[in-house]
Order: sequence, then structure tokens, then C-alpha cells
Amino acid sequence: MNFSLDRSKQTTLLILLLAVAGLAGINFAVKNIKPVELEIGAIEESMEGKLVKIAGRIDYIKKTSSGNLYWTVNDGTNITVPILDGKFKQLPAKRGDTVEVVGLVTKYKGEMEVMPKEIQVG
Amino acid sequence: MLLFTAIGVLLGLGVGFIPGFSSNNLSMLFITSGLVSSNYYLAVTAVAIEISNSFFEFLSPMIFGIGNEATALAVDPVYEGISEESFNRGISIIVSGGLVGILISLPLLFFADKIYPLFYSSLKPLVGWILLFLCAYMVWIERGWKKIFSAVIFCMSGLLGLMIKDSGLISADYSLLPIFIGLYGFSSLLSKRSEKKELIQDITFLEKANAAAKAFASSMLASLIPGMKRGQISAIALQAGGVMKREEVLFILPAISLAFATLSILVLGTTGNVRSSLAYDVQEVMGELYFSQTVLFVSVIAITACMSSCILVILAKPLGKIMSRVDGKYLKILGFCVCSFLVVNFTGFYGIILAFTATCIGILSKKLGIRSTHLMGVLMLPTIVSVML
Repeated sequence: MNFSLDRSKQTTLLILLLAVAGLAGINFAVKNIKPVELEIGAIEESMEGKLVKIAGRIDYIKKTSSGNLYWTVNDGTNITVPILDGKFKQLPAKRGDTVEVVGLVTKYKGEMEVMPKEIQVG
Repeated sequence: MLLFTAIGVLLGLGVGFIPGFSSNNLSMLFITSGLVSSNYYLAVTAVAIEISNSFFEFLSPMIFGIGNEATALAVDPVYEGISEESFNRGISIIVSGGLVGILISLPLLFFADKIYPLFYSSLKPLVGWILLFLCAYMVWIERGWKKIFSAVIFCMSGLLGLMIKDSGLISADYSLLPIFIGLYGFSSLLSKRSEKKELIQDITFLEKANAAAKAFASSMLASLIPGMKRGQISAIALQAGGVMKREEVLFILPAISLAFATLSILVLGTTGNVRSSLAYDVQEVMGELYFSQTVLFVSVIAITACMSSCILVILAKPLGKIMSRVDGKYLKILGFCVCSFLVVNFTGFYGIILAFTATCIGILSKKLGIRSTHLMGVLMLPTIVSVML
């Protein structure tokens, strides 16, 4: 049986392998990305889309009619942490609790927020 | 108002020549600069910047072969040994597409308050399924092995989009830049093209009407879903449109940009929901819109479109002459340098990896003879996943 490929097919196969390797590399990088630990006051617009880690006390919890929660986390400066994901809504967090939040910096209606990916209470 | 509209048009023109720079960044910069104290004039200028850029942003794919998410699909149709005649015809198709985009969405000004709530409640639960069906349909209409190849290309680019979405790997402002430069920029620049120059042809009234209907339907659908961008809408329209001539693609892209911009202002005015960066700018400055203000901003869109069309048509002649005289090889080198600079400067190491992977997927699609719309999986798959989950 002859498995030889012509030059064009070899190039296509090589490019396919490179694309798969690139996807694997990006997946690895995304899985291993380390959040930047910082104080809430240091969060600014230019950081939108960055993964950060903040810590503070829950000052206020707002619950909307759709069941979403909005925590106001304070470490001397306030920031909103929207709790839209079901798994975080189950957390036993209440006003006054200290939390550590790892999430993406986002902007909603002109206000900076941290969209959580991981939360630790207490 | 006319003065501030004209200022916005000129700023939009300037940004149109800078590949990779978003007009939204400029309009936000303008809003926050404090240069204009009146909120009303600030919003008018921001609208004019974004609308005029919807026309001028096509200069970058035509000159450098670099498209953003809204114009990437125009790179292949226009960037190949373009002649003066083709350049002028391309510009005239883009201009007519943009103007038709506004015209088809204007009548909704009087019905939006009745139509939108109705559509919103009945269509919203189905949006994810509609998008999934369109993508599956596009793969299905391919022939033979191309069915499998196009599904693979769609999934690979979709995976790239899913991995990068909300990953925090690079700044959200620029996360799509290296991907689009790779999928549509580098891959076009690096692929061997046929030496045969194909002139851009005129399109018939029927083709225009057909493309306009698709632009309107996809913009309507998109204006119901939060977070949809022009790139996704273009992908929807082209997926739904089946096989389209490149002239139709050139017509439909600006039609979508302008129809979506107009509809997003109508949605903001009637429901208070923000559906585009343009509507976001207006809401940031003006807050809630009254009906009279909605009419006013739609008028600003129409005036800006007319001004931009005139400028673009005037610019087409000298630009076309220059383009036809410059050796295509030098333009390719220039395009390559600009692309590389943008990726390295704005997105760093991870951006290079993203651009490399996207380039491989882009070249792969060309080698397998797959239509470039399948590469829009990069936007479609993450949208389907976020709408359905």
C-alpha cells in the first residue's frame, strides 16, 4: 500500500497540525493564566478583560426580580461583583462576610465590575 | 448640529485609514475628553464618528488587506490585484449598501414600539436554535468532502473563539484583533493567489434587494440579542444567504452596519436596551431617549451617511489611481508590516500565538477550498453557546 502524499497535501497536513498545536497551546495558556492580585482602587478602565483577584468585605447585596445578585465588595473602595452564575448563587455569603474573588474586569453602564470565575467566602 | 456631524465624519475618516483602530475607541475617547460641554453635541459627534467609520473602515481591507470583525469578510473580495475600475466599483457598491441599510430600517421608526416587544418575546427563546440551524445549513450545502472540511474549519475557528472569550489572556478591547488579522489578513497575504485579475462587477437590482432583505432580517434578529456585534450579524446574514457573489458580500456588509446602527438607536429609544456600541455611546451621554431625540439621532445617522458617501465617492478616484499604480507586492509587504505591528504592539506574546493559530486555520480553509464565512465560527460558536446555555 502506498501512503505517500504529494507536496500540496503534505503542506496542508502540516498546516493542520500547526493549527491543532496552536489551539492546544492557547488552551494550555488560558487554563494556566494567573490572576493579578490587586486592591479594588487600582482597577481602571484599561484593565477591562484582565483576570484579577480582589479581596474585601460584602457591604451590600442587591437581589433583582430575575434572581441575579449584585454584591458590593469593599476593601476601602467599592466595586460591584455580579453573581449571575447559578453555582455562585448557592454560596452561603451574607453581608459583612469577607470574600476573595477571581474574575474578569468588565464595564457595565460606565461602572467597573469584576465578573467572578472563582469565589471563596470567609 | 451639522458642524458637529461634520467633525464626527472627519474623525471617522481619519480612523478609517488606520487598520485595527476601532471607531468606538475614538468616540469613547471623545466623550470622555471634555472637549465639548454640551451632552447633545457630544452624542451627535459620537454618532457621526461611528456611522462615518462604517463607510470608511472598508478602506483598510481595500488598501492593506486588513479587516476588523465587521469588514473581514470583505478582504477576500477586494484585496487581489485591484484595478482602478474595480476600486471605484467596489466603493460605489459599498456606498449603495450603506445607504440602503439606513433606508430599509427607517420605516421601523414608526412601528418599533409595537414590533420590538412582540418579536422580543416570540423570537428570543429560539435565537440560539436559529443560529445553530443556519450554521448547520451552511455546512450541509457544501458538496462531498467539503461538508466535512467546512465543519472542521467552523469548529476549529469556533474553538478559538470559545477559548479566548472571557479568558483574560489579552485585553478585551483587542482580543479579536490578532484572530481576525490571522484568519483574514495574514492568511490572504501569505496564500498564493491566481495571477488572473477579476474585476468587481456591478450587481443587479434583484441582487441588491435580496441582499438588503438579508441585511434587514439579520440586523432585526441581532438587535433582539444582547452582546451581538456587527461581525456576528454579518456571519448570520452570510450563513443564511448561502452562496453569495463577492459583489453581494460587499453590498451586504455596509448595509448590515448601517441597518444595525439605526435599529439599535430605535431599540434604545423604544425599549431602553443597549444593543450596539453606538447606542451605548448615546446612552452614556444622553441617558433615556425621548421619541423626538430618537428621531433626531436617526436623522444624524442619515445626514452622516450622506456626507460620508460623498467623501468616499470623491476619494475613490484618486485612491483608485494610486492603488492601481502601486505594485501589489509592495502593498502586500506593507499590509504584512502593519498587521505584524498591530499584533505585537497591542496584544504581545499571546497575541502572536493567537494570530499564528488563526493564520494556520485561515490558510487551511483556503487550501481546502472552503468559503471564508465558515471562519466566522470564531464569533458564531461562542454566541450560540452563550445564548443557549
